[in-house]
Amino acid sequence: MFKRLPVPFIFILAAGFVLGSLMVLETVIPYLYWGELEEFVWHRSALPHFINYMFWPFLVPWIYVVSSRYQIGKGASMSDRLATVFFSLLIPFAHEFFTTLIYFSLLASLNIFYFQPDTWELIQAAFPGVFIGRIVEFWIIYGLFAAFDYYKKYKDKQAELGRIEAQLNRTKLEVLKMQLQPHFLFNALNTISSLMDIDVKKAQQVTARLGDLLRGILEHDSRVFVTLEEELGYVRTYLEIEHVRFEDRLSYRFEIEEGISGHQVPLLIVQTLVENAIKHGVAMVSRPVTILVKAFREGSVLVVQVKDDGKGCDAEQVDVFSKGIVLQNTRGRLKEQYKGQASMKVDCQPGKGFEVILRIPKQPLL
Amino acid sequence: MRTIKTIVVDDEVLGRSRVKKLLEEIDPVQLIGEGRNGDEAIELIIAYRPDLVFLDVEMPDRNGFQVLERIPESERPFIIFVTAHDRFALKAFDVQAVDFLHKP
Repeated sequence: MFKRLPVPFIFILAAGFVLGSLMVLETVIPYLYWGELEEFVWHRSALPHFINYMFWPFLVPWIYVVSSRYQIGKGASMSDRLATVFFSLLIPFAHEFFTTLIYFSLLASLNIFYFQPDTWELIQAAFPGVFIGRIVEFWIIYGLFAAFDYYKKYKDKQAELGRIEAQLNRTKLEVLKMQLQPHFLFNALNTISSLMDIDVKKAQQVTARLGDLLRGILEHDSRVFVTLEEELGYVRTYLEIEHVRFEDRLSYRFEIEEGISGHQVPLLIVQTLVENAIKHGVAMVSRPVTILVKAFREGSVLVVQVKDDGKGCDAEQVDVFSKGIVLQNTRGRLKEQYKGQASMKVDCQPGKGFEVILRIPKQPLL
Repeated sequence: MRTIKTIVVDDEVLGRSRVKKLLEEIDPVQLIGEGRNGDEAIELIIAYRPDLVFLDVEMPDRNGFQVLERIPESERPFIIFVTAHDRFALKAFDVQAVDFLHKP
């Protein structure tokens, strides 16, 4: 039964000893202060306190059993409440009974005091007062356990919520991967198929790069977060494949500040923005378009910018584009993973392209 | 043997190359031009009056269906749409395309 206690029994015993000693000190100090220590009757003033507090630890496991087994809070049954009230009387009574027995036995064994005919009457007279004291002590200990139990349930619930949230994020990531797969695969396979007729070596290179990318993202990477360096590695491979498809119509540039490669970012967060820029910025325009991927640090925040110089949009269209699936997903992921500490800004001007700026704190707040 | 004057329209070079390569193996087909977007497709169709056009659906500025809207029905050549996406198949036959070529 002791094993079930939330704290080791030895600590409870030590707490009883400390409290008992403090009570003894409290009774001794006035005598010390007035220099009347010789008048201090230790077995009358100090010993009962000490026995009282040293005996509680042996009843604490029972109180813990009562607090765990019977509920008294909102929604508790009447039988549970009655059982708790019953034990809140029984345990203090048992405490008083045994400590009285121990007290008088000790006094007798030390030849200090013997049970007299009128002692029983003295005990009866003192009983109501001390019994109420024991009941109060019972509820204090019970309250400590209830508080601990509440705290433990709160922590368990938090941990459970964390697990559910992490699972949700992993599921969303899987959905994201599945969204990436078909569209990109169609185009990449089409590129390879077309290359087979005119440049077999290049077709082999693209196949290898596609294999690298899919192996990395779909097979090996079940993480929710990766370093910026790993994420940009995926983006580079993706752009290399798309460059073969669009040739001169697509060029790209990376401007990455030194020393930020280890910053954690959500997996595929930059890749999806680049894919979006290709879909709306490059594929929809005949002239050559450049995609710029820029990353730098502002204090402890990582700023990532994905910009294209495609046909852009007017002020009214910014809202419409911002509500596209990719940008909405990105905004949602940042909100969940960084609890509002991360942000996404969309800027778009006619003829000047489309720009998305992410601000990502150092640590996710899952 | 009568030749089939053909135009290939696709915004991606590789897409055009693939179709051209396939057409090389068919004798009566004579490739008379290729376009990179919807506007070029309209110009080529009006200027060269081809018998057959391999027309990409998704292109910048003007897609394959929008190209057809600009060509009077009486002057329309036979159209074979080329796309990677199944969802365009039904619409392609709605506008009387003769066939639908799947990429890749």
